[in-house]
Amino acid sequence: MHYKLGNLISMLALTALAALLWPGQAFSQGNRPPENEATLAEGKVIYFDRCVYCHGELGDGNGPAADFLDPRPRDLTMGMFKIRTTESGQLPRDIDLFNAVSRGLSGTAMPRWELTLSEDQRWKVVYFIKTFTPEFADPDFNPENFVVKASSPIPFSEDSAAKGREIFLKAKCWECHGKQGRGDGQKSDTLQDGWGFKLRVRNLTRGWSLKGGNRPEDIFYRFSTGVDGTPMPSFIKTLSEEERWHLANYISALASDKESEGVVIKAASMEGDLPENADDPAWDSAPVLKVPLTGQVLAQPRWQNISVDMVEARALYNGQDIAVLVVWDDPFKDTVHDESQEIKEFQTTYVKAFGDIPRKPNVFRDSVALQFPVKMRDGARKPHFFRGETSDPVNMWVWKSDLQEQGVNSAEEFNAKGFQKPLALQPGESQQVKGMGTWKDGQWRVVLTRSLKNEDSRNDVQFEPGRLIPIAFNVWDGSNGEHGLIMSLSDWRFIALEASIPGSLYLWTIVVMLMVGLAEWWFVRYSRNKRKEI
Amino acid sequence: MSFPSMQFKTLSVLVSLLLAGALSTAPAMASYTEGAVSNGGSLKGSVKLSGSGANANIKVTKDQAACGDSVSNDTLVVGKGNTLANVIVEIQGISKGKKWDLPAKFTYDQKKCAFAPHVMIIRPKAEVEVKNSDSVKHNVHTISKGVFNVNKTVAPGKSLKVKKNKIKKSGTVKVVCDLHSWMGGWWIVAENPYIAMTDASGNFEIKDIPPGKYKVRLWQEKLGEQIQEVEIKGGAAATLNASMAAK
Ligand SMILES: [Cu+2]
Repeated sequence: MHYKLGNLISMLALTALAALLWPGQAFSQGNRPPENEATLAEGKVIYFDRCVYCHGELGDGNGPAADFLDPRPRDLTMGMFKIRTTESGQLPRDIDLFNAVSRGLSGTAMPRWELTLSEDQRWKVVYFIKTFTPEFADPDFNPENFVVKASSPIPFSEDSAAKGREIFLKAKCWECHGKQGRGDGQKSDTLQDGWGFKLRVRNLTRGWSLKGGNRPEDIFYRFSTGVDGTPMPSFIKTLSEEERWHLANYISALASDKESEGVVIKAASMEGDLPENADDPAWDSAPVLKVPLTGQVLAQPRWQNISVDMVEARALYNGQDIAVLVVWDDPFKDTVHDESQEIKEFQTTYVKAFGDIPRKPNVFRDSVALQFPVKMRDGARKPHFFRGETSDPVNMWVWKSDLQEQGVNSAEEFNAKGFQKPLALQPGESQQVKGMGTWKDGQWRVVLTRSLKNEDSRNDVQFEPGRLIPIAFNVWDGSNGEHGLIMSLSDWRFIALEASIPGSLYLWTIVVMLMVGLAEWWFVRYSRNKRKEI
Repeated sequence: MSFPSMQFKTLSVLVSLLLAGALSTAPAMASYTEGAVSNGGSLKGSVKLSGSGANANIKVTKDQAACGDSVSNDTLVVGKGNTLANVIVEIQGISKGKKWDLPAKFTYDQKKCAFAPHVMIIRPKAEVEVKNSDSVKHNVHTISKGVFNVNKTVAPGKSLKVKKNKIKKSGTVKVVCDLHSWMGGWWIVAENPYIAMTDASGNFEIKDIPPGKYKVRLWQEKLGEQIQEVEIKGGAAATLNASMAAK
């Protein structure tokens, strides 16, 4: 029996992409088919078409893709479901399963099936899934008896959110989720799920990665019901319904969006010295661009279980220099790098979620790289966003936490001509980028500074007003095992010096946004075709 | 999307057939019938550790006011002469025999940020009250293969009640508190009443066993399991002395 893993993973990628591009749909319970032998049989066919690659033939979560996914696909035979409206340890209602299948689980590989399956099909697959847990068929079983009461929702207000913050502190949510909710509360990475796999605490500020949704009513149920199979408990016995609504309002206000509008980092001009420090209030005057990142799946070793899926970037410049501030969330501060533990050879095209690389603190450094084209030209032509090409090299500014820890300049300049070749470190006299990073409450803030222009235009990016300069990002989270090409990356964005940007350039940004869309489409197509060859 | 391909269709059918087979052989819950045992035998013995495995106390890293500065590490309890406490000894495959001698209601305590007792044998469908005798909050988080799973916080002085019939089948339930990473305990849900746990000196005894040849399963949380064979003769005491290897 053989599965095409490549096909399967690109199917997941396509579904995820579809989720990004298509707006959400409301669904009703109006067209629910009856639950009988015929619909069960249809559900079974759908399951073996769509679900089996992850959840397995026996529903035990051991499908052929399982080893590559973190979190692992749910074992459907245990009667444990994460996203419910019923009390901890109780089976879900049918509508809970239907909603989970329809909406998918954000921040996991479970896609939004409402985009690809009809309402009728989704109900039928729910009926089939229930056959994996015999308790569903128990005549005495009635989940309606265990639904968590949500009788008096408290609408969002600043006041309610402030009360929620008090409860967040009192109930010690921060011990796991961190003082600012960034998932950095644990000093070590010892948390496990019910199957003994290491588990990451959710970053509550990343609204898009909350598995059960980020509306206050979704969040209310998560800590009321608990997330079964994880350390997240139910607080139904220790917090009143009122307290839980305030908490839900607070958490929902923490959650931000993944992407901001536009594709241009508008560097703000300022008088005097640029801030060396990431916490300098001068940064407030520079507009923020959020840049989504994906796992590096273009070339072996492919990696999709990234921990950093977004960076926030902004820039300031004066008459001489430019400084770029990159901010991203990372629960563990890793400032060492053990080269002997780097993985040089891979047998599989994808890196397994567990076992292939050391995913623990204090092995690999945290790091960020900014990438610019070396050749400056007008129009849409750019080098490949994955490390450029032989004929069209890129200039990379790489900040390394371990260098900073050693007290030397933490930024290094490289050139690359495609991902196939190692990065070429520039000679000492060409090293002109200065780096400074700080880590606090589960967040890195890194400033990279260089002169706007220099003598080395054959190897270095040159900044001048009135130009859109392509910029792309690579990020490594050391405690997530990331190093080398095991990393997250973005496609091209742009940086522009704010003064005197001609109107025509903004026209370009529109063209460019279309190009970005096209690049994403190509990205998926490319990785898909690539894998067909294997 | 050109998915799914014909290939997958064929595969699906094949897999469906396999699954149908697998489901029909899925183990049903072994049922146990109580009755009188005439001329039963007994099994006694002791379990030792081969190798060494002394456990240092665990340093408490938070809530010291309630938990103390350290707690004992009960994952491997070794007595004088390398005897092993808290080893589960169960005779497998007896579906009819003596009356259950385990109560229908159990209390499990959280005291000084440790579960007490560390390992507890219970019977299916039993009621369990999990108390929090501490002045800090705990969460009672059970992990099992479909035996009984819950994860609820319990306030100081309060308790979590597991109602009758909630624990449906036999098996092993690990109990943890995620707020205090060192806290761990076990509930062993018995398949039949022929089960015992070694005492502080590593000894155990099981009585009123219908004569016959049996497989005996020894289990310790860190050392894993071991299967032994015994023959029980009417009115006689059989002996089983076992050793489990340190890991
Ligand atoms: Cu505790």
